[in-house]
Order: sequence, then structure tokens, then C-alpha cells
Amino acid sequence: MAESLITCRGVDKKFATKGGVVDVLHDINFHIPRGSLTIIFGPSGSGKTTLMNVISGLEPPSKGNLIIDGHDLYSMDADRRSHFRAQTMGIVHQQNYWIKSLNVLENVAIPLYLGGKDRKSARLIATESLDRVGMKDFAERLPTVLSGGQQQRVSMARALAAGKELILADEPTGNLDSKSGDMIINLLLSIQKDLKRTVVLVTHNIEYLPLSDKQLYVHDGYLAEATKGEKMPEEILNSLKSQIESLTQMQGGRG
Amino acid sequence: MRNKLPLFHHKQHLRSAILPRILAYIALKNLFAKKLRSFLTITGIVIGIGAIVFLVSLALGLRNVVDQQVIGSRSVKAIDVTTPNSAIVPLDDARINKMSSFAHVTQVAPAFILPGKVSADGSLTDVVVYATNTTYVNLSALKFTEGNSKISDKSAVISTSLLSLIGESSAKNAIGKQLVLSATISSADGTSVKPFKDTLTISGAADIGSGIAVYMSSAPLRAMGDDNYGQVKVVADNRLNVPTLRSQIAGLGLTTASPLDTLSEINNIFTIFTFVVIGFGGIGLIIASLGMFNTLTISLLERTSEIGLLITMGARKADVRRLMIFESLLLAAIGGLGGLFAAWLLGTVIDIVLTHYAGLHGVQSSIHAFLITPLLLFITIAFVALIGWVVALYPSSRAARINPIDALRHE
Repeated sequence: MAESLITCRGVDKKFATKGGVVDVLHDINFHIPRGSLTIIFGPSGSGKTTLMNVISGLEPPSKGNLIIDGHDLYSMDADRRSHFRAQTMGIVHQQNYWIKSLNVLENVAIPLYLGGKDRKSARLIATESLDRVGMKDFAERLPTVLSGGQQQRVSMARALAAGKELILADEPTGNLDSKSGDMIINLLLSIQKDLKRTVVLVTHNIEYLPLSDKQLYVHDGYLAEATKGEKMPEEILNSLKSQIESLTQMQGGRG
Repeated sequence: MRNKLPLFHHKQHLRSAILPRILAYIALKNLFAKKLRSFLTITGIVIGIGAIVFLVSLALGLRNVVDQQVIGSRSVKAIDVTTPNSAIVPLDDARINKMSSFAHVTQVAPAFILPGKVSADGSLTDVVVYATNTTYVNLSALKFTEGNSKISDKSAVISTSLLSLIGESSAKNAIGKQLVLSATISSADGTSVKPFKDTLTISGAADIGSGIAVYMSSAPLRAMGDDNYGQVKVVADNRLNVPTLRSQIAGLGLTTASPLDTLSEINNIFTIFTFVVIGFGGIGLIIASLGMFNTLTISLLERTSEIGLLITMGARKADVRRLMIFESLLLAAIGGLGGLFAAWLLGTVIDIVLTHYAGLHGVQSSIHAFLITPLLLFITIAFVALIGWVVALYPSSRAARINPIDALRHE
């Protein structure tokens, strides 16, 4: 069995709201092997993004531990976690966020700057990273003028730039058409396979499930998991399909 | 082959890793991204700083002009010593020797001051006679129009106001001419009077204003056994030692005066003037600072998600705080330098106009009504940096407290 990079032990997450305490995650336990592609999936509002935020060190759990490469993430304070993130994780969001006054190349170079690199070497590495995702020619443009798919590729280049082992992608295809979405998923696969990075992908799209080494299904804050070769229980997949269908009908009805 | 995470040290986190020049670059790009807002904010600072520097440099320049008019080339290290009553406290050789023995005294130059008459070409004119030496004449900082301060037993320096009274059309013509000087020498107690008469060659002419005076050697009077001096100039080695020396001389029962007295009065007046102008300029600066604060706060609000993004990418509180402070310092620096330049430019233009106008009315020397001293420059730069820092305190600490998840939702 591959060595575990991420271990989640007994994680609970509760949010205090005006209407009372909301339990978002219940006793979550899993481990993610180093070098694997893990897909977290589940319906909207199931807690996927909260789980992703817990993994990335941005959302302290109410209970439990998150161990990454032997480091207990939440035994560190926020600054230590930021530093840890700068060294170990690249995050790709569903929505693209940029430093709007900087061009594509400078945006990709930011994680390198945060790691203490000087401008020249950071720009060099950022250019290589953009080349890897096929966006080198757009280096001098402002990121906000690019299409959604192009922005996601730049976002991927930014996550890769600092040579981080762990790539966390939170619904990166959510705002894209299927062609652009497939391109992003292929990029993630090549990152995992060719660059030997560990990729954690949050997605709605169950078509991508066969590509993964491990699947984590989140539903109402509870987790079920299956590894490659194992099949996700039929009732889970059926429940997910029906939820997606009803969502599609609602959107069609509105349109 | 499997990848291994970079070695992570728990203790190496708190210091900001991002290079300051990169933060400055990002801050600059952000300011450029909002050109109009940055321009208006910087203009506000230029006006605020410019107004203060302009007014303070005017106060400094005017003080300088007044100082020069009052002091001229008189040495601020010289003390004029007189006696309040020559019968009781005579200013004689004994007291002069005593003054010479004081510490920090470099020169002592006594002068007899007595009423006299000058006859030349048949005219007779009343004059004040200074019977003294070259040192005294030098310390009197006379403005020579012809000749020099050197006086000997048979030569004299006259005031230019005496020229026409003795029938000379110019100082140049008067040099080498002879005049007959007569005076009466009173004893210290005023009981006896001795007459004095001599023929002297004019060696120099100096402009002393409306006074009519003759400077001659004190040797003939001393030969007659007189040591009842009217005034003594005592020179200290350093202006800082002048007050001590003055109190020592006052201890001998003598009266002292120094150009520093006048300077001190001028300084007092101009210090008040400077504070008044700083007060007026300060109002503009406060408004400019509020503008800066407003710009930074709005910039922070607009970029909440950017700050959140930076944190998700690994920026620490220190990085975020520094970014805001850099932006503020950059605004202040550009505005401050612009203000300094604007004040200098305006002052220079006004000086040129004033000099030109004065030239039309016969004034030959150029006018410097504005003075930007190195100290003013230093204080302005330090003050601008302080404003930049203070204004950034609140927005930067607020930025550092941003929750990245909330910030990203802010988009």
C-alpha cells in the first residue's frame, strides 16, 4: 500500500449561525496516498468544499486532526499554516482569483515570491510552468481578459509553479464547458502521473470517477470511500445521479 | 520515484519571506491600476507637503535675509564691551588685561571713542574719532568702498559720508589725501581735558551709513598716557562660549552686547512665525492624510479577495501588513517628493521674479526669500514616512486579520 500523505482523523466541523449550530462534517476519517488522484464528490451543500478547506488548512475543524506528511496542520497557528501551505500546497479554485493589477506571468510567480524567490528566477520558473499548461504566449496579458478555460489553465500553472507536491482543485471544471473541463482534467492527470504530484479533486461530475485512485463521497457531512478496483455502492451513485438530474431540470425550467 | 515534500521547519515561519522590492513592485502596480484615484491622492499630498515646505522655507529664507541685514559680516563671536560709568568702572588697561586672561578669549581690541573735528580744504566738520587698531576695524565689519582696514600712526580710514564734507567727489580720489584731526581727551573722572591734533593720510573709505567717523591708530593717545577706552571688542574662540565670557566680563562691572542678542530676538520672532505657517500648512496636510487613509481603506475593501488569495497561497500576516504599508509609503513618498519639488520650484520662481523686480529699482544683489535647508529636507522626508506609516496602521492590521475563506467569497 502507498504511503499516506494526508490522514484525516475524526474531523467534525460545526458552524455557529443565527439559526443555531450547523453540523457540516461528522467524524470524517480517511487517508490519501502520496502520488494519487483522489476525487471528493457529492451533491451541493454536502460539505465537500468545507472538507477541502479543512485539508488546505484554511478552516480549522471543530474536532479531530489533519496530518499532512507527518505534520499536524491544526497544531500550528495561522501563520505557520500559511507558511506550510506556501511550501506544500497549490490550490485551484472553481472561481478564478487574481491580483488584478498584475499580468498572467506575475500572478503565476506570486507563490514563488511568497517563498522568497527573487523576481528574475520567479519569472523564469513561472514561464516554464505556463509553458507546461500551454499558456506561455499569454504571459504578458492581464488574466481577467482570458476565457474561463484559459484562466483555469493559468490557475493550474500557478498551483504548480512553486513545485508543491499537493495540488488541491476545488471544482475546477464547475464553470467550464465540457471541452474545457476535459482539458483541465487531462492536465490534472498529467500533473499527477508525469510530475508525480498528489492531486485532490472536488467535482460534481461522476464521469471523472474512473480516472481516480481513490474516491471520497460526501453526503450530508458523512463520508464513504472507495479505492481503485472497488466500486462505490450503487445506492450512493444512484442518489447522486438523481440529485444531479433534478438540479439539471430545475436549471432547464428556469431557462 | 516518489516526490518528497520540502523539509518543513516549524520555527522558520514568522519572518516575511517575500522580498521588499517585490512588495514595492506589487504596491506600485496596484497604484497604477487605479490611476485617477492614485493621482488625486498624490496631488493632495503634494499640495499638503508643498504648502508646508513652501511656507517654512519662506520663514527660513526671510529670517536669513533679516539675519544678514542685521548682522552683516559682523562676527557673532565678538562681544562689545563698554562701561556704564567710566568714573567708577574705567575701561582701562587693567580690566583689558583681566579680560585677555579669561579662557576662550582669542582677541581683545580696545578703542578710544571721542568727539573730534576734521579740517580739510578750509572746511571744519564734527566727527566721531575711533582711535584703535586694525583688529578693531576688522571686527567692526566695515564695508570698504576704497582702500582697506589697515591703519597706522599716520593713516586713517574715514566714513564715506565724510567725503563730500571735505570736498572730495569720490573715495578713490580721497585716498592719499591729508586731513587735520583735532580732538579733546577727557580723563576717566572728567576732571581734566587734553587737546590732541595730528595730520593723517586717508588710507581707506568705508560705508557706515549716515555716521561720520574717522578710524585712526590709538598709539598717539596711548603715548599721551591715556587708557580711558570707550569700547573694547572681545572675541571668543567659539560662539557657544560667548554667554560664559559675557557673564565673566559682566563680573568686572562692565556692560556687554553681542550680535547674538539681536539674532536671538529675530529667532524668537521667526520661530513663532514658523509655527503659525506650519499650523496653516498642517490643515492641508491633515486633509491630504485623510485622503490617503480613505484611498487605502477603499483599496483594501476592493481587494479583500486578493488579500484572501494571497493568504491561500501562503502569505503570512506580516506579508499582507507589509503590502499595505508599502502602498501607503509609496503614496506618501511620491506625494512628499512632489511636494518638496513643487515648493522648491515655486520658491525659485518667486525669487527670480523678486530679483528681477528689485533689479528694476536699482538693487544689484539677488534675493533669496526661500531657503530649503538640509534639516528641513530631512524633517520633511521623515515626516512624510511617518504619515505613510501611521495612515497604513489601521488598514494594514485589518488586512492582516482577514479570513481568507470569507475574503474569497467577497469576490
